[in-house]
Amino acid sequence: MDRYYYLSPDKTVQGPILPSEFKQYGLNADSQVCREGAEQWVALRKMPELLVYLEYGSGVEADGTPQSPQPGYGQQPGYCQPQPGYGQQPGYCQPQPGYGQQPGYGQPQPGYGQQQGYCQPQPGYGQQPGYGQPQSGYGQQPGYGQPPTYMVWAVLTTVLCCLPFGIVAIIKASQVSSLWAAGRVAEAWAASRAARTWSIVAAALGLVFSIVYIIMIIVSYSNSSVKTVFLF
Amino acid sequence: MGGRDGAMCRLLKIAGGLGLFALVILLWKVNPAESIWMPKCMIHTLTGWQCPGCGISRALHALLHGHFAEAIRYNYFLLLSIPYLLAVAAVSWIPALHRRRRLHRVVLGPELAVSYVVLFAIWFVVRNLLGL
Repeated sequence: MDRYYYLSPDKTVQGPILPSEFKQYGLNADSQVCREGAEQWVALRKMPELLVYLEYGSGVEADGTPQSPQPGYGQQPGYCQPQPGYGQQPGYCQPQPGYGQQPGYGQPQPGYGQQQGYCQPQPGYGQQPGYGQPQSGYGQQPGYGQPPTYMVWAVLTTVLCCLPFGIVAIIKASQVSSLWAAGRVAEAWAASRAARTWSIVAAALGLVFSIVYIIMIIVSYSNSSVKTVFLF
Repeated sequence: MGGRDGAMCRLLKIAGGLGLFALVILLWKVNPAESIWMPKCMIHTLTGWQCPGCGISRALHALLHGHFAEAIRYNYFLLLSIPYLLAVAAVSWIPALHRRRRLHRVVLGPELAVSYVVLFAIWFVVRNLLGL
């Protein structure tokens, strides 16, 4: 049976593991995997034959191995490990029509260094039939697998604490859905995590300031001379 | 990523929900305009400027007591931010709306978010210039 490398949440390459171990290692439908010997990083949700392992764990193994992934992948061995500058080598991930129009696509982005081997799904994978519309099976919950946007919290932090970090959070949160819709799974997740982080930072700063403020009031209030100034 | 993020997400939602509930009760009970104990805006305290969110705690207090016109006078930006927040919350949390992908993309998308942020910045300048 084929084994797969996968990208852990901190975007390091782990594995290879057997599909029957996917559940055990906490992979989900959005996890990027790369078959040992292949060069394509693909989200599990685009490989129905592997998705079943997420639902049934090792139970499927007994029924026999699933059909091997697309032919022609195994011919180039050992490309799974992201290599420096991997993404820049032409021919590995052929940009597809539509993707190529986005400037900067395929070039290393700050903070994404470890993901340079991440390829956009190729034709066949990319054609998600009726994506966004209700699909049979897991598609019945549209937005299935989409990272949370944390938009509510981001907006709330700007409304309640009006901090610049909340604005960063809003912008990041707003990118999640469109990145996801464009099939840029890893970036969608990164935007989601950033939105969460900045929301928390904004809220924490507001909280810290509030606590400091109250402490200062207590300190000044305990000086009896100030007491009369404040109204209750 | 599933398990850890899922648990984090749930924890965050519960904590955030409880925090919000406590905040609502506090804002209902205490008038921020009169109580020194209610934390004041950080930016206003440090710089003396009216920040785009200044007045919101007073406005929320007024709102919770049904004084709508008074609430808006504390911060006119509420006319924008409350509908936006409600729309975002509805689209994010009401399961019946999850099917509406287009609605999702518009409400949670970058166009609306950037417009909101730009208006936020304009409001910051305008309210300080006009003393609103």
